Amino acid sequence: MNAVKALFTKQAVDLPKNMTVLSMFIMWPIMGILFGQFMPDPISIQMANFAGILIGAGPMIAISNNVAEDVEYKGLRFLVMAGVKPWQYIGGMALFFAIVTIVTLAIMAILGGFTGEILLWFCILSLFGIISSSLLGGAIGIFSKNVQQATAYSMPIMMVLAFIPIVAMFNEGIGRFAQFLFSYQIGAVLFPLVMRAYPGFTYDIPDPDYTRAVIVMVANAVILLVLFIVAYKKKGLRG
Amino acid sequence: MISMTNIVKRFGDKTVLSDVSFNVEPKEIFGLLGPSGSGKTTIINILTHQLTPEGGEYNIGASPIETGLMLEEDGLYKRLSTTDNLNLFAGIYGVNRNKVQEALESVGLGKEAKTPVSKLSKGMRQRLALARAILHSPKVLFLDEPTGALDPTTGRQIHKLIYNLRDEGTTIFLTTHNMEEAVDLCNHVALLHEGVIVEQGTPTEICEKHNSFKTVPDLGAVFMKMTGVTEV
Repeated sequence: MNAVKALFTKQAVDLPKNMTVLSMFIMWPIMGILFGQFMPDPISIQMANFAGILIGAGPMIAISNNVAEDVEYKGLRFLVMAGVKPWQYIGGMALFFAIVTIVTLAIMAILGGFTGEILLWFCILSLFGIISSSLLGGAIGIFSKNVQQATAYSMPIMMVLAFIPIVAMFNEGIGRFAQFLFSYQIGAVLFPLVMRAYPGFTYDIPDPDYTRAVIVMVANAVILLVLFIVAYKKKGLRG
Repeated sequence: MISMTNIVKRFGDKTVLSDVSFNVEPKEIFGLLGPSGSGKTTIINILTHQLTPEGGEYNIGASPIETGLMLEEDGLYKRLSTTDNLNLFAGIYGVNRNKVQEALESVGLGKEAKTPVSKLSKGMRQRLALARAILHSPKVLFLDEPTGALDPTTGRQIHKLIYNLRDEGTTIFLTTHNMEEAVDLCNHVALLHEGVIVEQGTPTEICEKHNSFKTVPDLGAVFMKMTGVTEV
């Protein structure tokens, strides 16, 4: 536990100094507030929208960036030499960024005024989304030789995870593909629920399909777990 | 304490270590000498389990956690302060946080406790890497070119620190291409050339054997005589 605690503390000290990663956690709530102020839709819709992007992008970018940085600058080599096990290294980091994401999501839930059924589904979907996003970030970090390569991999994936669900709202073809993404299901469940709370705002969006959402979220988490294991077995975490 | 017997290491078709054997006694300073590319870092990487040799055997009388390591690539966290860098490893080793300031003082970085690593000179980073290596009072300490980027004054301070560590019971294995440093510091040395150990013993023994003992032992002259290289 010493190692997990030490790595967790190191991440807490480092995050305020790491603008690339920090911006991933402060940008989306701010965007939600700004869109809530200047767009006709209620802030709840904006918060649901940007929470999906945060979950898709935040843990993935943070973990891939940190792992790749530790590989590139050999920090990981010294951690391994100090007896840190790979599960302690990745576990300490994932735990830290999961908590940061949950705190940010809690702020967004408060700003969006989520209560009752909306809040319950927001929490369930967020949990699965954070797990999937973290596994993806870990796999990208392991596959990358340096931070530049990790960014080259993670940015297009972030665009797919974050923005395709939004585009899918207006394009049926993209929607058929997007429904298999965990980040899409967050919006697919939350939007109708949020809109029910605001009868004045109507979109042509079907009622949420909870069963499909849970199946897609679990399937994404399992597939990304397999990807992470393959990445780890192939390249390992030795620095 | 540390031994290598008939170690062979290849990278692809290239043999970088051929039949390397030596023994390091407990509580001594052992120096591996040779120019860049002679295979010194490869030997450290094997001894610290980062590389696997193709042949031969090696043994270290200490677990990884009882080992301290300072490499050419420092692996420091650039955004963090010197203290935060050491705090991370103090946490991992379960060492009291008071030891962090002690370690910084011992390498002359006591006044830089809050300075981010990105603001340190190369020599200061090297000293911080040394502080990290000795933080947990290891049984065995591996130092790869410990004074390579340091000015002579700081180099002498580091030599003093290395002596103190040896006197406190640490076994020290260092690599250097600086023959004077090896004569000053080491109880035993091995001369490495293109992956082959060409001579080993105490600096005095080696220099006497090769008639290269002037006012002080001249290991550089021995190395040039044995390998044919013109500059060390």
